[in-house]
Amino acid sequence: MKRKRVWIWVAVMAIVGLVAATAGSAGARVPTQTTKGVTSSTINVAGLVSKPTFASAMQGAQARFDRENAKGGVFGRKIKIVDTADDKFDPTTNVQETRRVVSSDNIFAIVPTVTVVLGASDYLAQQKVPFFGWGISSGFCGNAYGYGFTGCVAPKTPVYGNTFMPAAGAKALGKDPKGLTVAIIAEDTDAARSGLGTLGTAATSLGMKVVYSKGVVPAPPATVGDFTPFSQAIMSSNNGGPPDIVIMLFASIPSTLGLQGALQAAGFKGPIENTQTYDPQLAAPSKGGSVYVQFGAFETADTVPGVKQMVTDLKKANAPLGVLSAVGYLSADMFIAALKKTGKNLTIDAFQKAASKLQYNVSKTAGPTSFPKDRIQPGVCGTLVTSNGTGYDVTVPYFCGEAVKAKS
Amino acid sequence: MDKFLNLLFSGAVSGGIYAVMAAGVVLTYQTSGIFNFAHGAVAFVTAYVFFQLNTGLGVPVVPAALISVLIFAPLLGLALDRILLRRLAAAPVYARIVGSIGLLIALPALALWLVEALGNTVLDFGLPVTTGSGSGTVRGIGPSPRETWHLDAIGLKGVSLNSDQVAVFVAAALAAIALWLVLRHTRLGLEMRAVVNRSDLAGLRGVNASRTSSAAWVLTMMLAGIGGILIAPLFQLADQEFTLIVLGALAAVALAGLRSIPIAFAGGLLLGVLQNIVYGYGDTILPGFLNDLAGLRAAIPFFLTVVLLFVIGRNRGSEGRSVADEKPMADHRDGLPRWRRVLPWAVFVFLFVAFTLQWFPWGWAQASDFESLGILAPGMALAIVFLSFVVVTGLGGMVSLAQGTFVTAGGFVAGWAVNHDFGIDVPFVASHGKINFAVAAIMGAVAAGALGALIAIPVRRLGVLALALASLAIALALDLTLFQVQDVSNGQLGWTYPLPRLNLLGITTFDLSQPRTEVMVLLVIFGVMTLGIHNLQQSSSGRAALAVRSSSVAARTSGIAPARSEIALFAVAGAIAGFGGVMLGMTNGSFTNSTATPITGLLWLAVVVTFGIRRPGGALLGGLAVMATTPVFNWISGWSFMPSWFNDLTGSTYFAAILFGLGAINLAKNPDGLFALVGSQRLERRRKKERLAHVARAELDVHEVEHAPAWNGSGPGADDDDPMHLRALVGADSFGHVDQVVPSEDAALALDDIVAGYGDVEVLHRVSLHLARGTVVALLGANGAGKSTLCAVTAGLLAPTSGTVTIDGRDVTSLAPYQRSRAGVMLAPEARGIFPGLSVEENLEVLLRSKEDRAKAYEIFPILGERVKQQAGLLSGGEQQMLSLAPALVDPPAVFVADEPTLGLAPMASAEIMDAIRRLRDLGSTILLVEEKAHEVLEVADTVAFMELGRLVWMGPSDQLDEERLAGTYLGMAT
Repeated sequence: MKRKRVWIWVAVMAIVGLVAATAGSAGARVPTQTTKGVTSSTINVAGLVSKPTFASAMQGAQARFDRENAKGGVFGRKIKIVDTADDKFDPTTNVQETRRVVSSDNIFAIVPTVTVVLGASDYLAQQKVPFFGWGISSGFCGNAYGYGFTGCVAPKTPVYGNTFMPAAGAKALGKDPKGLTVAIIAEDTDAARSGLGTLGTAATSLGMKVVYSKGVVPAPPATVGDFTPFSQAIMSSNNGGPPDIVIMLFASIPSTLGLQGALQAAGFKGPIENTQTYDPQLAAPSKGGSVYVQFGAFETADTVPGVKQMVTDLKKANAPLGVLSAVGYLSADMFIAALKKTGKNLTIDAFQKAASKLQYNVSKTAGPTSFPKDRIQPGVCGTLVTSNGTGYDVTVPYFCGEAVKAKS
Repeated sequence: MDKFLNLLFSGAVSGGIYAVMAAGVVLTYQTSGIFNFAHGAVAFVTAYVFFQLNTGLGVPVVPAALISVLIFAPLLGLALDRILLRRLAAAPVYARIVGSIGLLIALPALALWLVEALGNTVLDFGLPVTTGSGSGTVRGIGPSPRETWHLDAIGLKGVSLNSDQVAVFVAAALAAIALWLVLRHTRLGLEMRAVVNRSDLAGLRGVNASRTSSAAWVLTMMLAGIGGILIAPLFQLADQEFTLIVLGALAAVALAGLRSIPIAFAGGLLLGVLQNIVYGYGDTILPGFLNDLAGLRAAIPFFLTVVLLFVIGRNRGSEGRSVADEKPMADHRDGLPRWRRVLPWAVFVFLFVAFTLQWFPWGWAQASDFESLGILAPGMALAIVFLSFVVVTGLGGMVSLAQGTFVTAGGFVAGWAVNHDFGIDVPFVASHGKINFAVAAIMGAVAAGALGALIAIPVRRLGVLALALASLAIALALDLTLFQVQDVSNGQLGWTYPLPRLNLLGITTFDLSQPRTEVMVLLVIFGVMTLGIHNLQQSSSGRAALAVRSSSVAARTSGIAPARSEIALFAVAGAIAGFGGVMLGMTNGSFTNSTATPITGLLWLAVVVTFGIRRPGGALLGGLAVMATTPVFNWISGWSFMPSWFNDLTGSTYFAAILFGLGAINLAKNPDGLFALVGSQRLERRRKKERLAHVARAELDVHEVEHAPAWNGSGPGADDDDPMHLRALVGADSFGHVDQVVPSEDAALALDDIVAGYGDVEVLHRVSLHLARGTVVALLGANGAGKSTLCAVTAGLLAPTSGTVTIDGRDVTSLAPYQRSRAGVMLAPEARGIFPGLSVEENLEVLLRSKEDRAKAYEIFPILGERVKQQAGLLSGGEQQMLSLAPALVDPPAVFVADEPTLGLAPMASAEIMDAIRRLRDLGSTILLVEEKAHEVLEVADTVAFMELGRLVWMGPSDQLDEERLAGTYLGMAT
C-alpha cells in the first residue's frame, strides 16, 4: 500500500518536473554575434590562466597590449582585457570559468590562454571565440579557433617528435649528433609515456642512439624521496656506462631537481635537459642543468631586437621577467599580428579567415609558427640555457629543430 | 648485487620520511584514540611556518627550525587540544574520522589565508608565497646548497646521499626513539596510555586526563612538525603532497596495527626499501601488463595498505563499528505531524523551482543563465552524489572514503558508453550507432554500483576505522592507476557527454544542455532518489541495515545476513554516486579524473557531515553550498560598502575551505549537522513543555487523592520544571528510619542531600550518608537501587544536581575525579578497576610511583609479582581485583569505595578480597562497601545502610540489623 503511494509520487514528480523543464528551456539560447566584443575603438578580450602559478602571464599580455594601445591600438581599436578566468589547474573549472567569461562578458577572444587543462577548447570553438596562448594543452591541437604561439606541443596522441632537445644536447657538447647516445626519462603516466616515443623517433632521426627510454618516475601527486634507482639505471644504460645526453620530461619540478641532483652526484657530466627550470628562483637548486626555453631567452636581449623589445615592455609594465610573463606577452603579440593581418574590417569570420593562414615570426624571439600546420605540429624552436647557480647562461642560441613524424 | 645493496641502503634512508610520519600517526592514535588524517596538514603548517621564518623573515635555519618545532608546533597542539581534540576523543569513531578530516581541510587553508590574504593582501607584509613556479622550495636544515657524499669508500658503488636525506633519516630516528622512550618509560607516557586505555578509570586514579591529552597533542604535533621540516626540502611545499606522504605511510601504520611505534618506524623504512626495489627492478620483476600500467609503482603502498589492513585489522570487526555505537541523537522532529515535517521542504522546493523558472516578476528573484544556474545545476548534481553518503554512512553506519571513486567510475563508464560507436540502432536506446545519454547514465550507475559491491566484499569485515582507511587506500590506488589510463579517462581533458535535444510533438523542446532544464531534471531525480531512500529506510531491508549497524552479531541471531545487507548498501551508495558523477559531468560540461579525486571525496564527506548526514536534506543543501560558496564569497568580497580588508579576507579562495573544515570539526559529533543546531533547541523546548504538563497532571492526581500539598516547595531548585518536583511527590522522608550517627564535619566522607541522575532520569533522591572515620559501611540494596550512582557521585564521575560531597570536612563537590582522587577518595569501580591494555607493573605504577611501593604490593599479593609483565586484561578475575586493590593496601586512601568487589568471583577469590578489605580497614581507611550479596559484607561492616529506589531507607550498626528488612529489601517487599 505504502509502496504504491511512493510510486505515484514519483510519477507525479517526474511529469511535473519534465513539463517545467521543457517550459524553462524554450528560447533560452543567446545567439552568438559575429562581432561580439568589438567596437570601432575597442576590442575586448579575457584571459584564461591557471592561478596562482601562471598568473603573471596576464601581466605579460598586458605589457604587450599597453605598447600597442599607446600607439593608438590596432586600426584605432584599443585592446582591453576585461576579465580573467582562473581554472586553478582543474579542467572542469576551466570549462565553467570559460563559460562564465564568454557568456557574461562581451569578449572577442581569449588572450592569453595559459593552462595545461584547456577543457573548454571545444566550447570555445562552438561559441566561435578564438583563443591565443601557449600550446601546452591538447586543447590547442586540431581546434580551428586555437592559436598556440608554440604550435601544438601536447597533443593527446603525439604524432610528431621535436628534435630540438637532442639536437641542442649535441650542440652543447659541440659534437655531431650522429652516434651520440641519449637517455630519455619521463613520468609514469600514459601521456608522458607516449611523449617518450615521439622524442625517441626525433633523436633517432638525427642519428642518435636512444639507450634508455622509460616512463617510470611517479607523477604528482605521488612523491619520490630517493632518485637512486633511476639515476643508477640511467648511469648504466649505455652498455654499463652513462649516456652522452639525458633528457627529462617531467611535469614535477621537485622530480626534475631530484633526478638532476642524483645524476650529478653519481658523476654525470653531460647535458641534463629539462623543460621547466628557467626561473630565477630555481637557478640555485638547478645549477648545471639545461633548460629548453621555447622563445628567445632574456639573456639574449643584448643581441636580439625582438627579445630586447619584450624585456623593455615587460619592465615598463612592471611585469616580472619569467617564462610565464614571456608567454603571455608573445600570445598577445601573435594576437596583434593576426588582427593586423585581418585588416580594418574586423568580424569573427574575417578574423578566422586571416588568422587560420597566419605566419607568425619574430626573429630569434618566437616562431616561425604557421597555421594551420602548427595546429597539428609542435613548435620546434627555442634557446637552450644552463643554470650557473645564480642565473642562466645561453648554451645554444635560438635555433629551430625539426618536427619528425613518428611511424604509427 | 651491488645494485641491490645500493637500492636497499638508499631506500632505507628515504624510508625515513615514511617512518617519521607513520610513527607520528601511531603515536597520535595511541595517545588520543584519534586517527589523525590531519597529520600531514600539521606537518605542512609547521614546515610553512619554518619557510616563512627562514625564507620570508630571514631567520637563520637553526633558530627557525627550533621556533617552528619547539614553540609553534606545541602551541598549535595545545590550542587544538583545547578547542577541539579533547571533545573529539570522546566522540564516536566516525565523528573522530570526520573531525580530523575537517582539520585536514581547515588547517592548511587557515595558514595560507593568514599569510596570503591577511599578511600580504591586507597588511602588505610581502611574505613569500609557496605558489608560482619555482617558489616554495624550502631549504633543508642541513648545509645549503646541500652536500653530497659518495659512499664508494664503504663499498656502496655509485650510491650517494645528500645532506637533506641524511638529516631526514637521523632526525626521524632520533625523534622516534625519544618519543618511544617518553611513551614507554616516563610517568607522562604511562598516564597517556592509561587515559587512552580507560579514561574514566584514569581519572579515578588521579590522572588529569585533560593535562595528558594536552601533553599528547604537544608531542604528536612536534613529531609532525619535525617530519614536515625534514621533508619540505625534498618535495614541494604543498599541503596535498604532505597529506599524500602521510597516506603513503599508511602501510607502515597498518603493519604496526596502529599500536607499536617501533614497528611503524621499521615499517616506514621497509616501505622505502620496497619502493626502491620496485623502481629499480620493476621492469624485470613485474609481468608485462602490470609494467605497462602507468602509475602502478606509485600505487604499491596503497595496495599494500589494503592487504595489511585486511590481515591485521579484520579481527577487530566486532569493536564498535558504527555511527550508532553511541546513543543516537534525539530526532528533533519527533512527535511532529507529517505535514509539519514536509512543510519546510515543500516551501523550499517551491521557492527553488520558482527561482529557477523565473516565476516571480522581480529580477533578483529570477535565476540568471550563467550565474545562478551555473551554481544550481552542478550543485544539484553534487547533491545527488551526496545522497550516496547518506546511504552508506547515514544509513549504513560505514564511513566509506571511496565515494569519489564511484563518482569517477560512473562518470568514465558513461563517458565511454555515450561516445563509443556500438554500431546498433535501437529506439530509445541507441541511434546512429551510439547509445543515448540516459542509457549511458544508467550504465555508469550500474558499473559504479558493481564496483561498490566488489569493494564491499572484502572491506565490510573491517572495523569502522579500518574500513575507512581501506576504502581510502583503494580510492588512492585506483586514482593513481586505472583512472590515469588514457583510454579510461580520455586524457587529461576527460569525457564530454553529447546531450539529448528532443522535439516534443513540435510544441516545445527538451534540451538537456540548457542549465534550466538540467536543474529541473536533477531536482526531479533528487526527489525520486529521496523517496527511494526514504522507502529503503522504512522497508525491511532498511530495518535490517539499521539492525546490522547497531549490532552485527545481534542482527545475525535475528536471522539477518549482515553481509548481504552491507554489500547491498555499498552497491546502492556506489550506484547513486556513479549516477551523480554522470550528472556532474553533464552540468560541468566534462568529466575528468580530477573531478572527484580521493581528496575531493574527503572534502565532500566533511561538507555532508556539516549539513547533516542522516537526511537527504543535508545532501541537498550541502551540494548547493559547495557550488555556491565561492561565488557567494566573491560576491561578498565585491561589496563596495565594506572596507577593502573585509573584501580581501572573504574573497580569498582559502576562506571557504576554512569554513567547511571548521564546520565538519564542530558538527562531526552530530549526525544531523546544522539542522540539529536549530532543531534540537526546539525539541528541548517541546520536551520541557511536555514534562511540565506531565508534572502538572501528576500533581493534580495527588491533590485529588490526598487533599494535601505533596511538597512544601522549600527544597533546592524547586522550579516548576525541575525533576525535584517529581521526587517530592513521592515524599522523601516517609520511609524507614535513617540514623545519621556522625555529624557531617566529623565524617571522613559525608554525602548530603544528593540528587543525581542521567539525563531526564533522576536516580538519587536526596540521599544523605555520613561515614565515621575508620569504619566500614556496607551499602546494600537491590539492583537498580542507585548504589553505583552513589559511588559515581562520591568519586566525581557524576556531578550531582544538588547536594554536597565532603571529604574530611572539605567540600569537594565541584572537584573533578582526578582531584578527588588526590584529595583521598579511591573508587574501585564495578567490573574491575584495572587498565586492561597496560601490564601489571604499569597498572600499579599509575598510583604507586616508587619501585619500593610496588615491591610492597607484590608482597601483599605474591601472585601479581609473578605476572609483572603480563597485560592486566589477561589476568583472572580474582587477580584483576587484587591488582585493583593493591595500591590502596600499600598507600591507604582516606576513603575507599569498593563497588561490588566480589562480583563474579569464585568463593575463594571473594574471601581473599574481603580479607584485603579488612586489612585496609586496619590500616585506617574509611570504607564504603557496596554489595548486593549482604551475607559476606556483614562480617566486615560496622554500619549497614540500605538503599531502595534511590533513597537511603535505613542505616544503623550492623548488629542491630533487622533481618526481616534485609530479606524484604531483596524480595522487593519493603514498606
